[in-house]
Amino acid sequence: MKKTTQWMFIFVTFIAAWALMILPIPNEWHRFGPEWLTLVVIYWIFVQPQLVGIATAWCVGLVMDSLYGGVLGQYALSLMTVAFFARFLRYRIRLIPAWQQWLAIFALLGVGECVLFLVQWMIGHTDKTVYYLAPVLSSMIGWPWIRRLMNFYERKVFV
Amino acid sequence: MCLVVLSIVLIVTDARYHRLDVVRGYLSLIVYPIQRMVDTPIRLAGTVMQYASTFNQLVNENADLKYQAFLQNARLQKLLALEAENTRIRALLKSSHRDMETHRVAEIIRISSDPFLHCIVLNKGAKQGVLVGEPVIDAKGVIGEVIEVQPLTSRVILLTDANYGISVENLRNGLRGIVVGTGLSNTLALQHVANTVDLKIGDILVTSGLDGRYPPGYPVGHILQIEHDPSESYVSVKIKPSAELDRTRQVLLVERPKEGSL
Repeated sequence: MKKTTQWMFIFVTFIAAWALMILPIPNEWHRFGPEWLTLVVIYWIFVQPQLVGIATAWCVGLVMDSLYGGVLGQYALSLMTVAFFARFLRYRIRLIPAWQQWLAIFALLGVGECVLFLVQWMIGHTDKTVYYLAPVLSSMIGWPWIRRLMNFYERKVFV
Repeated sequence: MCLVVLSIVLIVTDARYHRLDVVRGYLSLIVYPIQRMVDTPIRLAGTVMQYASTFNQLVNENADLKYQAFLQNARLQKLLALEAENTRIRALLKSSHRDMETHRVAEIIRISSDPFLHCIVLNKGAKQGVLVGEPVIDAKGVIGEVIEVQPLTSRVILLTDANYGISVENLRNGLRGIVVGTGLSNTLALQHVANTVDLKIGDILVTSGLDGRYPPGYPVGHILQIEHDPSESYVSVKIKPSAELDRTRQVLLVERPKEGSL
């Protein structure tokens, strides 16, 4: 398959993730929205490390910042950190059982949320709650589905 | 590594010095199609629901609206007379008269899903003449203030944001105070209220206009709960916002009269 097609496919998944991230969720639930974008970035780093790397993660994060309208650069920094650690794990991840993969994802998401929280804390926007870890849990539930769905299409595009 | 530095530089310049408006402008143009993509199906669903609503419902709603319009028109007559009288009396007293503000309808196209920032995005921007600092209200009360204007959209910070405050006065006795957001979507708090101050549950707080940002007299909220804690030097006062912050779709942008006429 041609490289441009592959890039197009990756780009489409990012667009879908952005759209999911800004989907309006009723007020009480919006803290629990999964981090779709982080999951998609992690997936691509595991599966196509030569195409999606730290720089891509950074750019994708910057767009997310603009979508959220928060301080520019916070999401970029968070996603980049996640991408950095995900690249360490990318060879090992295929060899370990599924539940350990799941734990690895948990750790990666946790790192991402912590970076976000740190940035918020340094610029003085804190809610003083532990809710900032809530997306990690919901994302954990989302991960198996996203992996299966993307695996299905990825086989068609990349083989 | 250099990306780390770049993002930290971005964060610092944006958070501390607010110098990134140009970058934000370009990014928002990239992002606009994505926002539209998410918004359009939701809007369409709304329209379809409207078409699907039954004849009976429409008739009822129509009757209801007519009744409301009738009542409001009646009140408006009185208001016009009062306003004229007010201007006359102010003229007699040789104090400057207040211009009425003009309103403009805008629609909410997106609610921020960032838990640290309570804001909404409107479908009117610099092209339609929206300015930073314009107050935003709905039919029932104050919603917030425009904090950022892009060519086609603008961003409004809500009263409930934990970093936002607004100067108010009690409608019953003219007592002034500052209402701040709590980060929760349906509660505000009145800050630094001494234990002896005359407040009652149900008191309505309106904008005082003394912050120079909001025109005076728009309802902000009513007092829901007053808690006297002997160990604290201030009373904790919970306020329910008047505006339907989590329900409205349409809002009004308030165009302020020219500086100096207030």
